[in-house]
Amino acid sequence: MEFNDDEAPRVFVADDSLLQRKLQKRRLTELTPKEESQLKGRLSKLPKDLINEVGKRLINYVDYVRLRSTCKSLKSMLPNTPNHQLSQVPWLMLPHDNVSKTRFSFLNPLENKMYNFDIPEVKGMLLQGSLYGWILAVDGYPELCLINPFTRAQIQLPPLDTFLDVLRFDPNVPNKEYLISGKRSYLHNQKTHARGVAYFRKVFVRKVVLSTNPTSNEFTALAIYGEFEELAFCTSGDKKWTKLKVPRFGEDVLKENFMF
Amino acid sequence: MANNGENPSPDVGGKTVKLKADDGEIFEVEEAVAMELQTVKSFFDDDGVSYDTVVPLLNVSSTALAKVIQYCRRAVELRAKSGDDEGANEKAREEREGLEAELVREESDEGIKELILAANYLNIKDMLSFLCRAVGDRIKNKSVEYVRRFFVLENDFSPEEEERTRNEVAWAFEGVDAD
Repeated sequence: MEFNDDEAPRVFVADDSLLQRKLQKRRLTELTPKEESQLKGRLSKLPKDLINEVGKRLINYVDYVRLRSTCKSLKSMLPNTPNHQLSQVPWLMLPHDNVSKTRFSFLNPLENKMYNFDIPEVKGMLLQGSLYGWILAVDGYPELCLINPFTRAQIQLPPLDTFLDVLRFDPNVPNKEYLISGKRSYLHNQKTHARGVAYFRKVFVRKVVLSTNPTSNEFTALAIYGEFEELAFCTSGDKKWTKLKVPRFGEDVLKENFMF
Repeated sequence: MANNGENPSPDVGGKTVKLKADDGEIFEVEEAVAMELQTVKSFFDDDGVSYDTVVPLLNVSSTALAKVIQYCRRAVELRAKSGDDEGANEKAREEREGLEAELVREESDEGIKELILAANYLNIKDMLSFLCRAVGDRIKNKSVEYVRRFFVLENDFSPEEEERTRNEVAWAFEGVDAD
């Protein structure tokens, strides 16, 4: 301190020049590791709720994951899937190498860095991304779910055989597991026709769009499906897809025009 | 007003408020600036508290308080500059960001933590926000161990828990900056 302890503290009118001089005299210097261990007991410790505030402002998901991995209390305090807005720049998911069918590469454009990891759950499935960070994995069998590639958490969507046009699914009929209704002129007015699992994996569901992050309790999913690009929707918790009757539309304008 | 003889005291027109740091040092500050500190504002919002009362800020060092005051003073000036004019607003915003960057640039890790604690105690929302963002920048791409050292956190995972955590997100532990 600059003044004797037995003097009354002086009153400084806090204009800038005086403050500047104070700041220069009391510069805080960076600690070397040696100084750090010597001072361990006296280093500033932010309470966990303030570290949480730092966590909430992290832009890069990877930094968030590492912060979470420091100690037990932060792991429980910071949610596994962060609620706040991480950088909206999407990661690019690249096809797996041919050796491992479950190993994927993710490019984070923010860091220009590639991350490789396993997602065994999607083995053999066709994937669609751009779903608030979740992936839609379709293998052709009725069960449909969203997978979080980072946490591997899954959210169920109604199965494929709940679409109105799908009459039944029978796994015992190879290549014709699904029976689909509806007249098709090329089928000479048959009322139904059969399709296999492969068709359902590759073609049946063209695209799914979500109204909001599926981790929220109330999200709506919209699906374009079938040969005639028809629309169906479901809300979280629904057991089946509900068909929508709408005028013809283009896939690209789908999300813009549809008001969730 | 005390005059320490080294500097003529500026004409502090208008009301001022006296703030006392943890070491007893007193800062006399323009009222508008002092009210940026919500803790101070609440102190005077109570009925019957005269503006002459010295506000005791027991948890704030004089170093931190000096910086807080300096920041808030300039923030108030900048806010006065912005108005309806889009151009003026943009300029004020840029200046404010420059001010924030300047504050954190030279600050050590300890200093920035001390400022966060001060901004939190004094309840200055904007300041706390940008300080937390600045800390985020400092731990960007750093290893888990570095982050522990920064926040002075003990690794209280058992070896099995630690193993499990690392396996869950093994990809996040690659390619960090060297400590």
